Amino acid sequence: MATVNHGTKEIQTKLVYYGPGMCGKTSNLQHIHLQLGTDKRGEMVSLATPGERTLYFDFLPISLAQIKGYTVKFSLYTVPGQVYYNATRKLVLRGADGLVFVADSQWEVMEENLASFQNLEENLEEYHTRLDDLPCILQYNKRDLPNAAPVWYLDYLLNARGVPAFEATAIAGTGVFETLHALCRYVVRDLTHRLDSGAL
Amino acid sequence: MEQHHLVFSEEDAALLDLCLNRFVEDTGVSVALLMGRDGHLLSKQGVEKSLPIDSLCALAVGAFASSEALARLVGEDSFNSIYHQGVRCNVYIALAGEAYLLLALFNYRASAPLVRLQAKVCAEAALTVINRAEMHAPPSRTEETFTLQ
Repeated sequence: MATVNHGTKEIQTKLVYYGPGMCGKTSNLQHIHLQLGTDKRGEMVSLATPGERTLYFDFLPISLAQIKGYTVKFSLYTVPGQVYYNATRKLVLRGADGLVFVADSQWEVMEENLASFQNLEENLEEYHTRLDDLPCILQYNKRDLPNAAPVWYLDYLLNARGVPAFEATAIAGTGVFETLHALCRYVVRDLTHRLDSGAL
Repeated sequence: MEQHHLVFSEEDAALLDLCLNRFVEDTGVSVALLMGRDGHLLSKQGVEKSLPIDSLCALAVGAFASSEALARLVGEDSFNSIYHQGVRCNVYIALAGEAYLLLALFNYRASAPLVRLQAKVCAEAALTVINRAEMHAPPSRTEETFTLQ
């Protein structure tokens, strides 16, 4: 969870992009890396297979916000989506302050979306955390594809909590920053609330 | 495994820096980093500006988690440290308590056994400060607003 350092005036947070394999988590980070100036981001680290499937995680440190003179650093991580990398997903979830669940909008992969969402809830339980306890938003990716399911159906399937959901075509950059900014705001609001309530 | 936020006062942050600074001076390592198992940096000493600290932390945490899984496969609970030997640079990562890691970068000028020995001393001293920080009263109120840059 967040680390607040009054000495360096920094707040460090961890945001995790979760979702099934090939849903576009890495594309989100690649677009952010491409678009942000080097003064606002560090280098992106990708531990991928030769076929560019995420093996371990992608990592991108960014610095986009200030609270009362404190720099808020967001460490963006993706998890490997493939089913058999669950141990790695658990590791990456450790200490997460906020989550984006990236769903693949294609009709054919609805089962994978559901399985991944369920897997997220199970893995959070290992850290005694529930989705309701964390800032979490949804991104419905691949909206440009002709076989994309309607948003109301994705809402029905994945958004019982009524959290903010964003349409995106991450490969083209559409919706990527809308998603990121919404999560950053959500996380900062949550942190501010915790600070003010004495939980931090 | 419970998770919690960690807040360091200026005094605690300075004490952590002091622990790491002593480690750097006593061993001759070029860089010392203290981080949480979630990849957040707590303190750094001897760092050059060009060093990608955030990436180092993320990868060190990942590497250590892998070694931990490896340990369980061979019947150990955990390996308490990992060591990568290079031609020009060596990396030593040691567990500090259960939730923190101490990373040292060093070359041939520093002695690996001394680094291992002093890392343990440094980790124990740092843990005392961290435990103190965990018991601290909450800091003053913050403003509700923030700016996205």
